[in-house]
Amino acid sequence: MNQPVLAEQIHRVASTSSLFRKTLLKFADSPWRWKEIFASTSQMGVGSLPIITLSTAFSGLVVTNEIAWHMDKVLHTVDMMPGFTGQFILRELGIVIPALLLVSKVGASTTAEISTMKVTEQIDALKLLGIDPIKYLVFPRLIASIISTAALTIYSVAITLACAIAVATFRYHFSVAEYLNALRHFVTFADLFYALIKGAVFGTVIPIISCSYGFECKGGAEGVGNATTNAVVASTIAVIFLDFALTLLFTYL
Amino acid sequence: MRELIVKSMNRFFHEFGSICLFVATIVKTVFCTRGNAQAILAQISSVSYRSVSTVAFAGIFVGAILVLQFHRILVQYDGEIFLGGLNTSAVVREVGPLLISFLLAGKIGAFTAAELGTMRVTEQIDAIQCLGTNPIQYLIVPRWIAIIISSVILLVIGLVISIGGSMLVSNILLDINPLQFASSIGQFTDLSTVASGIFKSAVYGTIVASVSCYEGYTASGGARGVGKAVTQAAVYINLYIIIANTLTSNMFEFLQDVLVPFIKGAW
Amino acid sequence: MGIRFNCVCKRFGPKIILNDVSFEVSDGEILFILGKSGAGKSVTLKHIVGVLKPDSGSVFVGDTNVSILSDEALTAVRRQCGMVFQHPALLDSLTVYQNVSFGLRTPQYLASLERPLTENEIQKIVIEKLSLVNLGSDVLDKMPSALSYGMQKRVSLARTLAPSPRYLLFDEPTTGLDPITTNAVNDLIFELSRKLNVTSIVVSHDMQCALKTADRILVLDQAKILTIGSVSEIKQSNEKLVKDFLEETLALFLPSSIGGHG
Repeated sequence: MNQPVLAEQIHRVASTSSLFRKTLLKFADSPWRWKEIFASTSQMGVGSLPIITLSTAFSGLVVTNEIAWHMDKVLHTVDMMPGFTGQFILRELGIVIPALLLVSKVGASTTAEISTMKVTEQIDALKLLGIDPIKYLVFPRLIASIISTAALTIYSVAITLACAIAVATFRYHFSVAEYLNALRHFVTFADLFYALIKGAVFGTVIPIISCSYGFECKGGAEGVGNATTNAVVASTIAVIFLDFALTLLFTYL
Repeated sequence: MRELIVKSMNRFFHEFGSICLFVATIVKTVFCTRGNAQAILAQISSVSYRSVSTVAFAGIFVGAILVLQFHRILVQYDGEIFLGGLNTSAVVREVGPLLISFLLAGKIGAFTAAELGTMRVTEQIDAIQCLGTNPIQYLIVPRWIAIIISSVILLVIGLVISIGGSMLVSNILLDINPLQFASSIGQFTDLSTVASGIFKSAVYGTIVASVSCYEGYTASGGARGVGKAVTQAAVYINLYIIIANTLTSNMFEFLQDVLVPFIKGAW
Repeated sequence: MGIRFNCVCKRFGPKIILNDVSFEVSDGEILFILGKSGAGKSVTLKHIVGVLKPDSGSVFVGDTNVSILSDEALTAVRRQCGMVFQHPALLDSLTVYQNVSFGLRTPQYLASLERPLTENEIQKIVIEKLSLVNLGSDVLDKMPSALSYGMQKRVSLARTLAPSPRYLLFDEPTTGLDPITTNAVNDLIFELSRKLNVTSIVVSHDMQCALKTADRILVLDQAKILTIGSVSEIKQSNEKLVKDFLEETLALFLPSSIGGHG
């Protein structure tokens, strides 16, 4: 990596964290625009439901088949499959797949929207009207995204598990009770709590990174395209990195 | 709720059909016109160069996440000796291509959609057409082929780095030395694992190339239109990759378990 | 010969864009198409190069009916037509030189020549066309993004002129240009049509330019032709929209006299 690229990345991280700090300050700034927050939540949450449902269902299907295949190959038995898949889904797969989908679904559209406002000078217009763009645009999206991502994480863990159970029942002849028993043996309530925390963290970084790239956008149509692309990449990297950090943290907790 | 499902199904199939038609046009152009190898090579090197550091970075962490997760589960069964094999096999066959191609959806897919979308809304594509050049041949074909090839290259690089990352993390955090890690790899993987990884990379690369070219080429309506094209490209690439992942997940095993004995029997 | 529209109708979804439009432009003539935004002016131009196809009716360029041609056959027609877009539409990954010479390297342009052009000849043509739009050879190696908007538009015009088209189609060529360059572009349109017998169709809002440059003026309103005629005929027209356009121009010329009436 050459120096200008590195300098630009550092500048990006700095401007994103400064936006995060400024947005956090708005927590104290009442009144919250609840109507906006609810509209945003339903748009992000309900709007993403079809794609999240479809893709997490598929990933539940695949992971069950894959793990069963591996066990059969090495141990010549699939007896341990329920506990194994259950834990893997609850701790990893059911969380990271929806998060990565939300990066493109919610994150990209947020950046596209804000950078379009920026290049068509709507954001300058807001400032001239005495409206704070961070309070008006970023804060409601942040709250909405935290709520909807946390909720969607739990939802997609449930869908992935349901699909995994369905495959285990039909293809590998486990009964539902057997599967749930094995799951109860290994999975604690804390795992669900960790999933919720991961979801909330992803829900925080996605809108902040997206808005930050949107505000930094320059130039016309080309600028909007570049901002959106960079935001998607940065959010994906951030999600993967934070997933690692949180996994590490929870391993030692 | 029912309305939402019907609406999104309709949109999904409409979009999917249009992309198939678009790919048919591209393929027809590839076969009916003289290719420009130089343009394709230039695209490959620019796409790969742009993305390789990001892919490497993500690869390390994907490997690290999986090692931590698998280790935690395997300890409960006293199966730590399988960690290396299970992790390598999972990275190469399944999770590696999936997670890394999510990154390519942004790095290559969104980028291409943005580039072509900008050219469309600033009338550059119309200008090319009016100057008597076929924009599909001039713009789309080199990008399409280059994206497929460089996706395979990048995914393979990403997978290798993921495995390296897994070894590193298991050495530093879990105190498993690399030899121990590598000892069980042979039990889990064979040539079909590698073939499966490369095949999946090619399929995902084709998805990234086709969807991003389509969304960019058909963008309309100024800056807003470019934003919409990029967003749609990212969303649809991810969705199609997950669907393709399901369809191809056990294909190689199916071929090995069913087709090979069948051919042997027939022989 | 020229260009002929025969009862052309076009709609986008429920919205009617062109409703039974017929007119003819003869060789070497300059036709200005005026109208409010969204009156279907740009759509008319796109029909000539076959980017859009009419729902009914036909469009003739020379002897060829372009509304029924396939994409491959259209390239031969497009080779004769030069289109100048509203935006500069320069390929931003190529230098000015590569942009202007783009049209000189296409297969069907080369096929229309007796022998392929050498690089020197291409360079000569590029410099000659750039000088037509008042640009020196110092811009040759610059990227489009390094030029001002007005310069980009002039490069775009030079690119269109490079393969010496017979028909020139302008989509608001002077929007966003300063008054001096606007005059230069109008003079250029006039000269090309007189010296080289190039047929020009210009879509514009600018009545002032039209009165100065055009042979005939066509006014589109609500998807139909409101009126078509020579400059003097247009000046005497009784249509309200035409009068509004003319008054707007007079206001520019004679601000004091209008003010005096008030």
